[in-house]
Amino acid sequence: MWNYLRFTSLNLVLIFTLCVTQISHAQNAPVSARVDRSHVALNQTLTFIITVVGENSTAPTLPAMDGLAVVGSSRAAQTSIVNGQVSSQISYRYTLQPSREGERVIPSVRVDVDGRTYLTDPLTIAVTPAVGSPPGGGSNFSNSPAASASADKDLLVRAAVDNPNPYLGEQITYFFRFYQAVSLFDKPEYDAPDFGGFWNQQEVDQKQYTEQLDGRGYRVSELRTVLFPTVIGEQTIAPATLNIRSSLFQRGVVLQTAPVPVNVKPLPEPIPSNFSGAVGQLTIAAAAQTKASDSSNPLTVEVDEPVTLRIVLDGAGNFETFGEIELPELADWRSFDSTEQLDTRLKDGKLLGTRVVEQLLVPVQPGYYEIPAISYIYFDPESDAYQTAATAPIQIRVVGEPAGNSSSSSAGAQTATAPADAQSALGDIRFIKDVPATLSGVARPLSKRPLFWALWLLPLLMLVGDWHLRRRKSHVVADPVATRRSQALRHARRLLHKGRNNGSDPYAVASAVLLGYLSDKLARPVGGLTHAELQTHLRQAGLDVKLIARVQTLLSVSELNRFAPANVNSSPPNGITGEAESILKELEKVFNDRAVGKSLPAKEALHKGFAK
Amino acid sequence: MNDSGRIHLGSTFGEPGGLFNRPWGRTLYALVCSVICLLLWICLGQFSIASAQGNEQDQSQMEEGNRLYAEGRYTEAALTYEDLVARGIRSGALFYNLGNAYFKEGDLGRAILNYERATRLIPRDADLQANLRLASGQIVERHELQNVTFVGSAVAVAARWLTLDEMALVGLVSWFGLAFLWILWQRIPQPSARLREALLLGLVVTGTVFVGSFGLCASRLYLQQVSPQAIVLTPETNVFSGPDTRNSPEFTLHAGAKIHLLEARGQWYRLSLPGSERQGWIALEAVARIQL
Repeated sequence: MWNYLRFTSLNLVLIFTLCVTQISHAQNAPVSARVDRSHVALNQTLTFIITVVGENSTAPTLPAMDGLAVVGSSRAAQTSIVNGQVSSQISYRYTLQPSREGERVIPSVRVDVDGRTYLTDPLTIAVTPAVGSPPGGGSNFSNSPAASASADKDLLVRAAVDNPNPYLGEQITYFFRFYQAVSLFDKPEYDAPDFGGFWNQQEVDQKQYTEQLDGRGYRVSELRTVLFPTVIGEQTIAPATLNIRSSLFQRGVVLQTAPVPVNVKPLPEPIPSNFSGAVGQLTIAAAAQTKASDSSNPLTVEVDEPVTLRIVLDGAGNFETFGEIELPELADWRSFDSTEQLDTRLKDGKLLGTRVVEQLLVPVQPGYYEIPAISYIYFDPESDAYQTAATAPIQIRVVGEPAGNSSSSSAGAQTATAPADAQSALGDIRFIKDVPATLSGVARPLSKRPLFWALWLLPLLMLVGDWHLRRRKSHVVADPVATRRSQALRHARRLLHKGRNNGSDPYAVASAVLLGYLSDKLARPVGGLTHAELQTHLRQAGLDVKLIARVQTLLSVSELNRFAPANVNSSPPNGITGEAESILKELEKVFNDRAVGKSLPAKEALHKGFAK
Repeated sequence: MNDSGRIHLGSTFGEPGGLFNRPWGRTLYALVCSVICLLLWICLGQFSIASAQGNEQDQSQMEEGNRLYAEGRYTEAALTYEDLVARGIRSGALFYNLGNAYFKEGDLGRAILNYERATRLIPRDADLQANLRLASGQIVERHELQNVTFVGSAVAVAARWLTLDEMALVGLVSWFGLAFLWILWQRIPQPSARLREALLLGLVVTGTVFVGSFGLCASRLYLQQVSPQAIVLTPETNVFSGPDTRNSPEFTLHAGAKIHLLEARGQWYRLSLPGSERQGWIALEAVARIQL
C-alpha cells in the first residue's frame, strides 16, 4: 500500500516537473511574432512585429511573402535589469502592404539567438477590398482603420505634407494628426516615421483644436515636422504610429498612418556656376568695424589697425546645408582665419537661420580701399528662380606710414605676420629665445642609465654595512671570549709585525705574542703558569708532544735571552720571531681542527685563571 | 705584559669599533667615502657633460631660424627648427621657438605640442608658461576633470617645476642623506637632546622628500610608459568607437587637445581624455606624442 502510494506520488511529481519545465520553456521562448491586425483592407497596411529576447541575436530574415510587400521597417531595443539580471529585448517592426485580396500567409521567420535557431509561427491575414479614398496628391490625409469597430469612429490618425512636389532642398511640413472622439486615460505614444531622404526637425509644440469630421466632432492633436528633401525623385515617408495602451476602460490599439508619397523635383536648369545649394529666402549684409567704433563714411583707419569685417546671412531655409560665403580678396591687406556663428530657429512653421561670419583684416598700406559687394546666390521656390543677395560695397580710408613688411596677401588665402595690436586682439605670445650656450644632442634620461640606478645601491650598502658592524659589536659584547678566540691569530700576527717594525726585543715580542695567543685560545691567562702547568694545559687542549716542546723551547729561549743573556750562545734574534710565527700557524691549525676550550665555560675559565 | 709576566686579556684585542683605531681602518673608510663621492661626481658630471655637448653648426642653424622668425617668415623658421629636432637636438629653447613659429602660423596643435615638449626640459621658464597658457586658452575643448586622483594632481604639479631627471636626482640625493642621517643617528653615543631632535627632524624631512620624489618619479615614469600623453594636431577630428571609420563617431576633438594614449592598433590609437572616463579611437596621423 505504501509502496503504491510512494510510486504514484513520485510519478505525479515527475509529471508536474515536466509540465512546469515545458511551460516555462514555452514562456521563455526568446522569439515571438504577431501582427497588429488579422484583417486589413487592400489600401491599408498592417504591422508585423517580431520580438527577440536575448543579447546575441541576428536580425530576422524575412522570407518572400506572396501578396504582401514590406513598405517600412524599424527596430527598437530595450534593456532591463532585474535583481542584477540583465535582459535585452529587440522588436523588429515591419509595415506590410497587401497587393491582393484573400488569405495571405506570413511564413515562419528564422531568427538566431545565442547560437540557436528559432522559427516563428506562420500567421494568416485576411485581405479585404479597399476602403475609403486612396492616397493621392495635394493635402491628402489618409485614414487609418483602428483595431476595433469603436476605434474606427472614436480614434483616427492621419498624415500628410503641405507640398508633395517640392524642389530639392525646399522646406515642406509633415503633419501628423490624431483625432479622438473619446477621452483616453493614458497618453498615447507617437512613433515618428523614418524620414529617410529628408533632413528633418520636429517642432516641439503640439497644436490642439477641434474639428468636425464626417458629422462628428473630434479633438485634434497635431504634430509638425519640418522636412528638407535631400534626394531627387519619388520618395515615400513611412507610416507614423500611435500606440494607445490598454486600460480598464480602453482596449489597447495601434494606429498607423498610410505612407505619404513625395515627388522631389530637381532645381531648374541652368544652375548658376557659383550656386552653393541654398534654397529659401535670404538676405545678406556686411559691415566693417574697428575697436574705436568709428561710424564715419568712409571708415578711416590707420595702417596696422585691425578691422573686423562682419557679414550676416539671414532668412529662411536649411542653413546647415548652405555653402560658404565667399570672402573678398583685398590687396595690401593682411587677413586672418574667419570665425562663423550659426543660429537657427523655428517660427510659424518655418525654419529660419542667421549665419554671422567675421574676419579680421589689417591694412599695410595707406590709401582708399573698397571692400566689394559680397554676393550670395540662392534658389527661391516661391518665385521659381535663382536670386542673388548682395551687400553694399564698403569704403575704407587708410592713413599713416606703410608697414615694414610690405608683402601683400590675399584675404582668406594665407595668414601672415600680425602686428602687435592685431595679435593682441587674439592674444599675443612672448618672443622667441636666443640660441642657448649649448645645444645638446639626444641625451639618455637618468632613468634609463644603469649607473644611475647602481648609485641607489650605495646607501643601501652603507646601511647594510653599518648594520653588520653594529651586529658584530653586539656579538663581541655578548661573548668576548669567543670573539677573542676567533681573532687570536690575527691579533698575534699584528703584534708580531708591529714588534718587528718598531725594533722591540724580538725575544720579548715572541714570548708575549705566543703567550697572548695561547691565553686567547685557551680562554685563560697562561702568562703566570709554570712550564709544567702550561704543558698540562696544552696537553689537555689536545696538542701533540712535539708542538708542546716547540712552544716550551721558544719560551725558554726567550726568557734566557731576556733575563740571562750572558748564558746564551749567540743566536740570530730574528729567527725567534720566525719560529714564533711558525708555531702560531701550527697551533692555529690544531685549534681549528679540534674543539678547544669547551671543557670549561669560558667565563668560568676566566675567573679560575684570574683567581690563580 | 705586566710586571708579573701575566698578560691582560684586554691587550689582545681592541674595541669592536676598532676599525677606526686600526692604522688601515681610517684609510679604508676614507677610501670608501672617496669612491662614493667620485662615483657621484662622475655620474653627475656625465649627465652634465652630456648636456654640454653641442656644436657650432647646430647653433648657427638655430640662429638662422631665429632670424627667419624675426623677419616674419614663420614657415621657414619652423622648418629650420624642425630640422634640428629631426637631427636629435633636444633643447627647451628650441622647442619653445618652434612652438612660437607654429603659433604664428596658426597651427595651434603643433604649437602646443612643442610647448609641451619644452616644459619637459625647462618647466620653470616663465615665457614658456605664459605662451602655453595663452595657446591652451584657444583650445576648443574644455574638459571637466572629474576623476583626478591625488597622485595625478601631485604629478602634474611636480611636472610644472621639475623635470624628470631633476626629480630623480632629488630622490637620489635625499636617499643618500637619509642613509647618512640614519647611520649618524645610530652611531652617535649619548647625543644631547637637541642633537637628537635635530637628527630626528632631519630624518623626517629627508625621508619625506625621498618618499615624495621617489614616488612622483616612479609615477611619472609609469604614466609615461602606460599612457603617454599626446596632442591633437588636426583642426577637427572624430573619435570613433572602434579602430575604423565605419564605427560610430563618439565625439570630436580639436587641435591642441591633450589626450592619453592607451593602445596602438594599426593606424589607430585608443585614447582617453585627462581626468575623464571617455575613451575612443583616433587616427594615428591626427595626433603626436609629446615625449620624443
